[in-house]
Amino acid sequence: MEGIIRVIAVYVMLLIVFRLAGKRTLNDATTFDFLLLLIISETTQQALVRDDPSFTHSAVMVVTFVGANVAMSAWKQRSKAVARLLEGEPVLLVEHGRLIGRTLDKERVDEDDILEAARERQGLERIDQIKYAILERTGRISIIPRDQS
Amino acid sequence: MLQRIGWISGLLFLAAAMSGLLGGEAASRRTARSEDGSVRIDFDRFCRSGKPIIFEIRARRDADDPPLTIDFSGAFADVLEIRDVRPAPVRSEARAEGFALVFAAPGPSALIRVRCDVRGTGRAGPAIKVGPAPELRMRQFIFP
Repeated sequence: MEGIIRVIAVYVMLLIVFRLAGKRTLNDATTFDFLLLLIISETTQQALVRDDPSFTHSAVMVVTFVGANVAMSAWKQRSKAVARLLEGEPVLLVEHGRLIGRTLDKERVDEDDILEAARERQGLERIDQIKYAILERTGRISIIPRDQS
Repeated sequence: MLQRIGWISGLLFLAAAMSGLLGGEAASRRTARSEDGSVRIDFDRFCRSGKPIIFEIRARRDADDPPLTIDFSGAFADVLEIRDVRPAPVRSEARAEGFALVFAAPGPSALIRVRCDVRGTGRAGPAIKVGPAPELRMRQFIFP
């Protein structure tokens, strides 16, 4: 029981930390971010395993993590409020070729990030060619080009 | 259908873990008692390989009883390795099978905690003999 409670506590703690860290944290990962993830996994591993390195314990932990994730996704599906709380909502970064400054600051996205997404996904070169740029819940930037005609 | 079976199996697995059937929980503790009630041993019925377990040995004694000797069987030594004993014994003795620990006057109601590392997997039947009381054999199952 104690092991299962520890797993759920670590799951909730990681959920809160990554929710507070913002959408862009994992999508825009740098080499240092990957190192940080490795350190986080090492730290949580020690809290989870403690003095029980058995296969049975690791099976209980894996099943608990997967179960918690399935329960959480089912909860999110049933409640829009929970989904909004846990994943946030898509936000508009560019509207009719104009950057929305306060949103960019809040989400820690700059013009270069939007242009990079515009080049990669739509082959666009300038902000004024973008109708809408949207920061999705996954942290990905979607680009809708302006009508060329 | 397959996914539903997986979810039910997962829930049953977690229920078994919470109820102590997979070891490592307080719910898997059992007690072995001598017939006259002078010796009582609390132990884990289900254990996990590599996870330490604790035997709590209680013995009722008279003030003029000799130092307490606790014999651990060969089957005990096969699957369990003692890591710590509280209170500390005054000496240990080798036996034909297993070993013994001798404690100096542990008091009228002795409580001795033996912390062990668990090795191997499967069924185990370690036995402990406390003083003149008959040997108590415990049934354990060690999960991998």
